[in-house]
Amino acid sequence: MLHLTWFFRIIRDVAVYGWKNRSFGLAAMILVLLGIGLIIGAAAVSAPWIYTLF
Amino acid sequence: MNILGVSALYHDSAAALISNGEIVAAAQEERFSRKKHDERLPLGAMTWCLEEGGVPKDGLDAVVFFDKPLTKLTRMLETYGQVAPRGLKSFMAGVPIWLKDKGWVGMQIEKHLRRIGYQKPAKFYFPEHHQSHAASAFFPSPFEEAAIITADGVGEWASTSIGKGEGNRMELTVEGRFPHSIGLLYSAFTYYTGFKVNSGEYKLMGLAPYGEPVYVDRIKEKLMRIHEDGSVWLDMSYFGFLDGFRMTNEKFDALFGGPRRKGESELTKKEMDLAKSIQVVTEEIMLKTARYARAITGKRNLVMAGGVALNCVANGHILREGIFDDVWIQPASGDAGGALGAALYVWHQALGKPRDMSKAKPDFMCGSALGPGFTNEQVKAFVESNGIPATFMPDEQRNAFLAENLANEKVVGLLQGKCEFGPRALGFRSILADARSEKMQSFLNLATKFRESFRPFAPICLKEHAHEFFEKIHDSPYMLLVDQVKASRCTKGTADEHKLGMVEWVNRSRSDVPAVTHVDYSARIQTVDRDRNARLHDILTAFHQRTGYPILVNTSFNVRSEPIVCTPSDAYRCFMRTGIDILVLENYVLTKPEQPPWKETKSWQEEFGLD
Repeated sequence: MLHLTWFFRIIRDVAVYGWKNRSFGLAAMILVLLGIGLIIGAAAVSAPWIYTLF
Repeated sequence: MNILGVSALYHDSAAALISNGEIVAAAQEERFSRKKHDERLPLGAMTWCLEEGGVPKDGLDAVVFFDKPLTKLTRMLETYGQVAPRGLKSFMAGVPIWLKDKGWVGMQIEKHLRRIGYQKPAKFYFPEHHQSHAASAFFPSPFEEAAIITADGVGEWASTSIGKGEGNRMELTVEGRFPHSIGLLYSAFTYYTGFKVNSGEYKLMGLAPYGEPVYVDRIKEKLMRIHEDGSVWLDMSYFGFLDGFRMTNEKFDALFGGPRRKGESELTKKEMDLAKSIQVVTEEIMLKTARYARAITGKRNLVMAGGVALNCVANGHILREGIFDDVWIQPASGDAGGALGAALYVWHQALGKPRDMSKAKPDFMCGSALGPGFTNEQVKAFVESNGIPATFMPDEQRNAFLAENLANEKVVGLLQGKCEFGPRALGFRSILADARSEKMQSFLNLATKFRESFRPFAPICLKEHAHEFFEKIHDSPYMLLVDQVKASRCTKGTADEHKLGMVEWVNRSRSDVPAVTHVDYSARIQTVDRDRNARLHDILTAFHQRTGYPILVNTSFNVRSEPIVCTPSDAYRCFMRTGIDILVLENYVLTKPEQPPWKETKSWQEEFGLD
């Protein structure tokens, strides 16, 4: 729950940052990076051997 | 209302607690973890601050982190975008760290608070890095209004900021932006001369008086431009920190005639001259910045913070120039102080709470004694449980005993009161010695601190007698100002002194207080007053009565690379490992000959490494 709360807070902060600074590309890039991070994190939990690839 | 400030994940992590606007506790994590410049989340410091402040489990109202991790990420990404495809390695190293740790700092703090039983605070704040520094400089200062300068390597984007504070408000109006940074320039020279970045800068500053400023023109012509407002432009083709892990690159090496010095190898005239040259350039920049700050704010007083504000030679220069009537510098000017500044920023700036100026004298920092302290009962329990011979002495007897032994060239380790917040030992966790002794500088460096022989020692002096020893600066409570020792006390050196070997040069007597007179006749002054540290004032007074000199050597109570001691146990270990003759733990006095043989399996070098 704690992870989810903070994950959504980060998403919100990135969106606000992108909107306020008109940096939509940068905000999108951060969201992509966060997505990759999330996939790696999920893989590390569900199939730890995948983690060794990174 | 309780607000917890936190700084972490870069270097010198720390926590600070303010309750209803009053600074209750502040401590660096390194004092608990025993890892110098510890950058990890300050779990020990946070827990201690909350306990010290007696904050109930449901009574923490806000947590403030000292910068904006997201904006830092955008700076990293934009920088990599500009230098790509160079910098891929650095990108691949930096971004995962943010995704894994730095981006989640709020969650990590909340997790720790839950682990130690605290309810989730109502609000998390993330002010900007330089706002935290500025708040740490202005709000605890004694000034109702002041100009503000913050300068460090880099925050989010800002590397230098100028603004003003009035009452309970502050505003930063001008900023220099990454990568053009006086802090990073100084760190580049720290790196090139073989010292560690983010820890060796003060060594470079101490090395400068041995050199001559022969590289100043080269630095100003090739590496940078200095504008009249103090802002700088760096030619990035000489630096490596945008696209790699090094501060400088091959072009920089070629400009200064060879590769960087390897750490721990012999210091040559080249390093000394580089140190002097970059010091001269830094002072020029800081003076211009100060003049500009005075002009645009119109304020008569100045406050400063940020890593560059630890350059006490430049600070002294600003004060002596008379640009401002008075200058106050945050004693924890580095990132650690950001924890305190962040908390104060929220209290005054975000919540609009007033500053109670009736409590502004001497300032709001409590002498910077904001860390853990120990009672005589706790010391007694420590010595008894470990079978350590110790004698209890009331203050007056203890001080007379110390004065007598200091006058006989004994070295004293002193633990009394609360730990200092910030990098300087201010007489709460200090090693004291006789400043009149000609052998003391090399003895302390080599046999007590086990550090480089060129490094100078600072004096502590009764404030009311400072005018007898120093030319212009007679009030420097936090050891952040350098001034010349009075000419009448100095012996003239020979013109060819600089041709001597460094050890011979440093060991030459230059004044009647040689242990604290650097080779250029300067001293990094700490004046002691009763308001900030009455018990240290008493020790100095006893020494003054015994010898006629109200001045002693004061150096941090640690060995090289070790964080300053915190607990009686840390102090005893350091005492037994080194050439300290007498250890004072509050009112308990321990002498070396009475102690049982010290046995340990690990030396301090193995434990702490070399900084």
